[in-house]
Amino acid sequence: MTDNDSLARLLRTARPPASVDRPSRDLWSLVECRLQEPAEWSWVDLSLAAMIATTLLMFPSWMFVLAYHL
Amino acid sequence: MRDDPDRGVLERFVHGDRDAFESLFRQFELEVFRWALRIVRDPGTAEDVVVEAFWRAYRGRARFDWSRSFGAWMRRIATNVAKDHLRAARPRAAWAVADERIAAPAAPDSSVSEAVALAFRRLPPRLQVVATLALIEELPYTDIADALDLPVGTVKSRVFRATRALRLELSQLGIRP
Repeated sequence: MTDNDSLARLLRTARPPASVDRPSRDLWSLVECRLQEPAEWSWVDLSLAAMIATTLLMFPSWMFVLAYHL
Repeated sequence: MRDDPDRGVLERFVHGDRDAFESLFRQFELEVFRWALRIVRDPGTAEDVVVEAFWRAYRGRARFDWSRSFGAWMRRIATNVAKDHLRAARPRAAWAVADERIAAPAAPDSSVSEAVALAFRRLPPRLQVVATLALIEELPYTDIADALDLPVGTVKSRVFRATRALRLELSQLGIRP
């Protein structure tokens, strides 16, 4: 038995396979609910928005530059 | 994974057709569930992975890779979702160093198994996934590489790093596999 076989044997005992092979409930209804939820703002989006707002407050003239490029 | 659905269903899915999406869900739900279960080892968590994976698939449908099968694409998404679950479940507490060294017995008792399970959960999720698929599930490296969208060499190196990290963690607990 190699070292890896021994480790694999330990892992198989510590993390045995689950005895079920199908979901216990209807998952489609959960997916549908999830699809109807409004999109969440991630912290990246929020940080970016806050950064732009702060920059524009500090340098209002940049608004025109931004407007020109949009 | 099962045979791929016909192109018409996939095209309707990519354009946002909910009926096509449901049809794909019904066709691939079990396969995705079983795949997730192999990684997370818990039926409730695997169900959460399925829901999240299909939601992500629908949200990212415009990025569907036509060069791959739908099943392989879903498997990859489910793997990423499973990895997020493993990350969330990863213990952060420091190790309690064992007072005595324990040699791994032929039939591991529950305390050794718990220690091994804890050591495993402390691995970074990307290593947990490859170690589960390679060492526990004994999947070929090529299949793992396909599911993770990685070169086979990277999979081999992650398996090596996972086994090395596990041995180190276990040795700190006094277990010698």
